[in-house]
Amino acid sequence: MKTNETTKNIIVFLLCAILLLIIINYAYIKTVSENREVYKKEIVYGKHIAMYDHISYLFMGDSHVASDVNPAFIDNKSFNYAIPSENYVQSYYKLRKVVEKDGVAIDVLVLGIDEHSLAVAMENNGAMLQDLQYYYDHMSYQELQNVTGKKLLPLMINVNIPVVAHGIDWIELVYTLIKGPKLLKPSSQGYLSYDNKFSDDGDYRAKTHLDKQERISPLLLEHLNKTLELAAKHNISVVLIKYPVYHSYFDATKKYAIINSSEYYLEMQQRLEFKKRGICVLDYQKLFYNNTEYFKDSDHLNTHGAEEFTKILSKDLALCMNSK
Amino acid sequence: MLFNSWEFLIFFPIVTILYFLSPHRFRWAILLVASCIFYMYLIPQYLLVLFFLIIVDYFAAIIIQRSKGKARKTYLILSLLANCSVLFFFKYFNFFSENVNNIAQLIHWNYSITALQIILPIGLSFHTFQSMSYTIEVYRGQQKVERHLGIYALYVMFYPQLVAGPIERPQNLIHQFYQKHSADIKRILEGLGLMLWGFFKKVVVADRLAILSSIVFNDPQSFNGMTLLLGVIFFTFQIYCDFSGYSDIAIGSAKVMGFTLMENFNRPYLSKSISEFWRRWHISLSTWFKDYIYIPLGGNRVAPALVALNLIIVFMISGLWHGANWTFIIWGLLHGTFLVTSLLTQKLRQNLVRATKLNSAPHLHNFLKIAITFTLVSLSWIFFRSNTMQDAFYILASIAKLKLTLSLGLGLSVSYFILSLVLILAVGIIHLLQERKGQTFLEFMRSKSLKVKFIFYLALLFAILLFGVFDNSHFIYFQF
Repeated sequence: MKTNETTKNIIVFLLCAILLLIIINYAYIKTVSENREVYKKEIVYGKHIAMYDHISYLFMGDSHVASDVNPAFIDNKSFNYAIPSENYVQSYYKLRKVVEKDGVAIDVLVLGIDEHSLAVAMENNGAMLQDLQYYYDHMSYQELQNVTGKKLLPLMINVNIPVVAHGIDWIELVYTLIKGPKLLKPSSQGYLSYDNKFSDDGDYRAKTHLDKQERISPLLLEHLNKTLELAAKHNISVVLIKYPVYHSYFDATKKYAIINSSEYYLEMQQRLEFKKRGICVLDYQKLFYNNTEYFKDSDHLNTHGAEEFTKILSKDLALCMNSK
Repeated sequence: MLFNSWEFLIFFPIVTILYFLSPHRFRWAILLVASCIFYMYLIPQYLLVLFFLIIVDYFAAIIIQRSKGKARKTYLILSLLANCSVLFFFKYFNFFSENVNNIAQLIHWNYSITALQIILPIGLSFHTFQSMSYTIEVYRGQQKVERHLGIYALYVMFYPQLVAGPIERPQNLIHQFYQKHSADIKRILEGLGLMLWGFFKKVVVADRLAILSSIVFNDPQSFNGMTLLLGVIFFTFQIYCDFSGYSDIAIGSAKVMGFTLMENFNRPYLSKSISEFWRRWHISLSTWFKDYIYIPLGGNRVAPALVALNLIIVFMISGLWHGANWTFIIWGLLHGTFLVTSLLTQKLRQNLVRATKLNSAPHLHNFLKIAITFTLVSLSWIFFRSNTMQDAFYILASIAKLKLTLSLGLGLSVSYFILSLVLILAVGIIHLLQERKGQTFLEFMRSKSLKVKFIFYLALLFAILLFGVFDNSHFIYFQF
């Protein structure tokens, strides 16, 4: 009799746990997952490709790209598809989705090649793991396993029950709501604007980006190469950009980098053969080197800076394309 | 294998089901094979080291029991030497050679010992101590020789406590392998409940706090005194939740199968003195040192100066047991010094309490005693966790020059701090409730109604699922 009662209690406990997990997971997807940058940008992207038959300049990369380029100053068809913390692995699979799944034609793909772009510190797949559901829509489990290094079971749990191990995101969500959420306007063409006053955090940012680790990660190099091959396959021209940084950031990179900037770019150029592939490289690292007026922090432009930068970039991109 | 791994999630139910389904006479073999698999998951070849020690101590005990007079002691010493040699070779050789080389350099002596390129077998200090405890107890006549090699091997290798304790005594464990344990649902649920509590402490609390403490202790020079102090406080709770969490999972998983392992922690941060702290922290190790080193040295039956010396010796060895680094030795010596100082100042402190009339406000008095003990223990953890002595002194100096500031320079979100504080508070509240009635976790839960248990375990389960850090991080005590 007592055993029966215990068994009944265990079953009730398990059913409650499963039901609660389903509810919490659903709530998480609706309140947190679908409010992530990657989904917000996807909505704006969906509206953009519904309006135009192709994208003239598609900008991809991390927060440098997201906050530095306002495509409205280039043309209506350009789109800024960058997401903070995005690395070349994510960019590759997103590009593959755009050209092969969505079937969108692109004239020019513009990628960032900053001091940290290939660094091992950027391999940190935390950002990708947060958005596993999004990537699972256009990647196989095998591909996800290869790039995240995770075992199949935890990966499947991450994809299907994203709330597992991510409960802290709710606290962040509440905090963001209190602070005021950063929303993308549908008309922004993917541009993420910042109006903050300048704060100099060059040393901290450079340390986070480089941290005295290898500057060229084989995983990131492989995916940058695959991105260039994919672009070539679909007749997309490629432009690589070194985005503007404030001098404190650039100075600090010397402290935290194990090889210097010129060696890093030389090696990148040799291994990816930019010239042979006819790829344009534009260097704006020192464009606003000492001018705090244009920066939100040591390596991101503010709204004003992005406007000024994109105007210059627009002309240079045209020159670059004409010279081909 | 780690308790907090996906493999263990599959391993544990399979082993438990096989254990209960198999006939009693084969159960020891199931557990032994399971323990081998558990151990081999990390570095398989080190199983040979374990087998070597098992064989040595198995035969040593038989010979000790057969022998008489001085020969008994000789065989015991030989067996202890074999254990200590393995420990020395794997754990202390490089530390020893490094120090010899440093001294040689200092006196301009052209001499150097090459360091060994070896990895320390997981949990070596734990199972060698458990092994030594067996031969000592046989020598003392407190334990009969175990003739069944499989059962003896299981005593050393029983997977729940193989790599990080509790360090069991043969009198408590060996006879349990002969008992037939039924699949008692009530006991199984209690064991699972304790495991859940252990997982909560490990993957939710300890691993969350470890994010901050690792950043701080791995590069202390980059942070101000305020951040370093926070790192020390976080580590203080991290190490407790990490190790006591491991012990709870070990005790709980053994309980599911019907085995009773000794309690290893008893709310140590609520201790009112350092000596009480050591009666509540890592109990299986501190009683090991008390029974096999402190008391044979004379304990507290000798002259006060010798008691002080014995305490210093025991705690220095305890520090060395934790790791081959001066930081651990200093940590041990600090605790030894705290204890000696408390012995020497006992009367002075009593007079001070009377003079300040603190004895008429017992709550305040107890609170102050707990606060002082907690502070001393936390400060000593600086040496335990720091990578070098220079780092430890840098942290201490920075904390001494503390300036209140909100700029921590850690790059962690506000939500991280909110969650961490809530978790520390949650563990603290449960412990305070337990402390009021002096109950263990299981006694505390037994006193609750079904509804409370239902909600509490559901909350624990969801805290683990939602806020757990599942990155296969090692338990701190694995390295020892």
